[in-house]
Amino acid sequence: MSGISYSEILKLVAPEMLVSLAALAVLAIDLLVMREAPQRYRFWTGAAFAGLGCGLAIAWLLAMNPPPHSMSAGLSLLQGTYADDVLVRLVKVALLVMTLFTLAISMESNFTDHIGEYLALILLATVGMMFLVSSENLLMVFISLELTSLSLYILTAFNKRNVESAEAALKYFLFGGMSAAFTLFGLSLVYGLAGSIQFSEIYSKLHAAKIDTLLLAAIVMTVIGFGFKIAAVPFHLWAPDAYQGAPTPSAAFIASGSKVASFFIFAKLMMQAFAGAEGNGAWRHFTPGWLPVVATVAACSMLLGNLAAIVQGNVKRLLAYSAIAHAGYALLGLLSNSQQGMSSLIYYIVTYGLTVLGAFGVVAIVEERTGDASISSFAGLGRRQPLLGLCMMVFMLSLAGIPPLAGFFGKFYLFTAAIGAGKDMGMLWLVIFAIAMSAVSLYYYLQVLKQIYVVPAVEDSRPIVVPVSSRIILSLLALVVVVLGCAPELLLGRLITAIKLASHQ
Amino acid sequence: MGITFAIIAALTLVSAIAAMSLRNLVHCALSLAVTFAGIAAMYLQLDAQFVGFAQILVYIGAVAILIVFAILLTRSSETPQPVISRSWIMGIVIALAVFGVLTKVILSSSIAQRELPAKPAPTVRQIGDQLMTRYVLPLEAIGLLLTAATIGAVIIAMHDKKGRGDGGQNVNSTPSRAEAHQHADETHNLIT
Repeated sequence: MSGISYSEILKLVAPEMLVSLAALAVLAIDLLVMREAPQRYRFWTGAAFAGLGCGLAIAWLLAMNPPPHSMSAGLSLLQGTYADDVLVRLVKVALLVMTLFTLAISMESNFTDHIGEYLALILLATVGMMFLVSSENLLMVFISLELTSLSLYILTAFNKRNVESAEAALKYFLFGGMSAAFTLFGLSLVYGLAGSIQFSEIYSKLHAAKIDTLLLAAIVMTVIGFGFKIAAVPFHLWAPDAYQGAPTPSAAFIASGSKVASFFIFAKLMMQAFAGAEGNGAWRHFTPGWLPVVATVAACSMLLGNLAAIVQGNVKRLLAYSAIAHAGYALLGLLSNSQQGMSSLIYYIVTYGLTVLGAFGVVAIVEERTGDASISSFAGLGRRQPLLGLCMMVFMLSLAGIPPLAGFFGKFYLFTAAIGAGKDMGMLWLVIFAIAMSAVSLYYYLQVLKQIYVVPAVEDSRPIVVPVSSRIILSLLALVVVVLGCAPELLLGRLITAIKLASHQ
Repeated sequence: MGITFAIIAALTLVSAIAAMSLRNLVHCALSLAVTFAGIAAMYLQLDAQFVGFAQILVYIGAVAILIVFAILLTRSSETPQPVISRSWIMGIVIALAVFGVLTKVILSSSIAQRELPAKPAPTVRQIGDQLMTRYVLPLEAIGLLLTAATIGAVIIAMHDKKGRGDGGQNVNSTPSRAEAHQHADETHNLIT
């Protein structure tokens, strides 16, 4: 390993490097040059540079087709620390697109004076997520999880004019620290059992042997950590407070990008490294393994998320509980434990991320104009600002899973994958439960729409003024949700080929 | 091995419990420093010299001092409410249950039957070599993590002066604002 070539490594991690450089550049430009400029200009310039960094990274990911030797070169350079295949690149592009939308949503907000720092932290969190998606060993998983989480804690605390923001960040941080400790303990037990931190070697060490009870303990602890990141019950307690207290763009980012990255690596870890821990026909009889653990978490998330969302009066809190429920649905993709499950999981979580970004974008505008994000402040939005109301309708219906929209096809593919998985439809009970819960969820999404279209505005029904940039961004997001729903093959087809390619390497 | 381990473990545990339950925050910080020292001794006993001395330098040398500074500067060394509350009992029961399950699982697993491997004695040179070659990417990621942490610590701890023009913000600082600062300080401590 003495003749290591750093330029090769730099080439390998070029997208991450571009985004990190953009973070530092944004910080420097804002602090050195734009210090005295008005807030709006600072935000626009910073976001432009940050967007440039993300755009360059996307271009690199799409243009440089992964060289056929990249896998082996990566192996010899970093010994399986860093994966770079078509699938990983696709997920990274999705992450960067979500970052771009987050930047766009935050451009009009005015909750902080520290604009450079805010944008830089968004970019650093993105770098963490990109590393997370690429990681192929436990050390890298943990470090990038921490990089992402730490940036997100700070983004949650950014609104210093609001006590709720500090409280939310403290809760998020304490829960996060606790679950990180559990994850680390679990991963260290895995290392003790397998003698290696690389996914492939863990698999080859563990899949042959009988399932050790210690491995089960390790798996449970690992699930705790990821359950926290994806906000699944019973590790969800931070989510409602964090979503409500955090500045809305931060909440949108927590709900979209961070979810995508965590779900991807969670599925990869379970399906690749622990592939032996549910094999041997063990889960046909519902015997110990990671499948029953994840199934329990999924069922609890769907139940509690949907029921608790019904009684919420604040739209941000409602979206938090609905995020918990959606984490439950998405876990079905993991439970089907197949390539089809993986592709449907990624499709679902990416479309969910885009939808929820749009929903938070609308919430951000309404919150800024009316002062709070309670459901009643959406009253009459359909008349006061028709475009906004229309966008919100698309997002809400997609979250509920109404046919021509992306949310419906996401759920459809997830449920088919889960039913088809395993012997004699073992997951059928969970799928039926999920469908029943989706019906419940329709109630609270329609509750929001009822406020927008049926309930008249309270007293001042002045039309809400929305800047052109926000209009364009929200319409774009709504369009993406509709297009991905009408032509799911656009994303799904790529995902399926990418997963096939990745599994052949 | 047995007796030294027992002494170190007892010292670490007792000081950790003291750090949680003492009323005076300065005393808590000092017992936390003892805990760090105990862990460092544990590393040294396991022949992990580099980690042990890094623990002493970083945790006892820097982190403990920082915590004491933070306590002294915020001047709230007495915690108002009684530290041991009723909900603790539940917590202790759960913690003991988890500990019991883990102990049983570890003792019954195949790891416990394995014979100890030969003690590796990594030199600092080897560790550095690995960090710059095989683990260079994790190292870089940690660098980014520390950058994010530094930015965050500064942002959270900084007094947010309101926009140009209204300087009299501190006059109408409400209790809620003071509370927010307290929260922010706590978060800051935890991050560092």
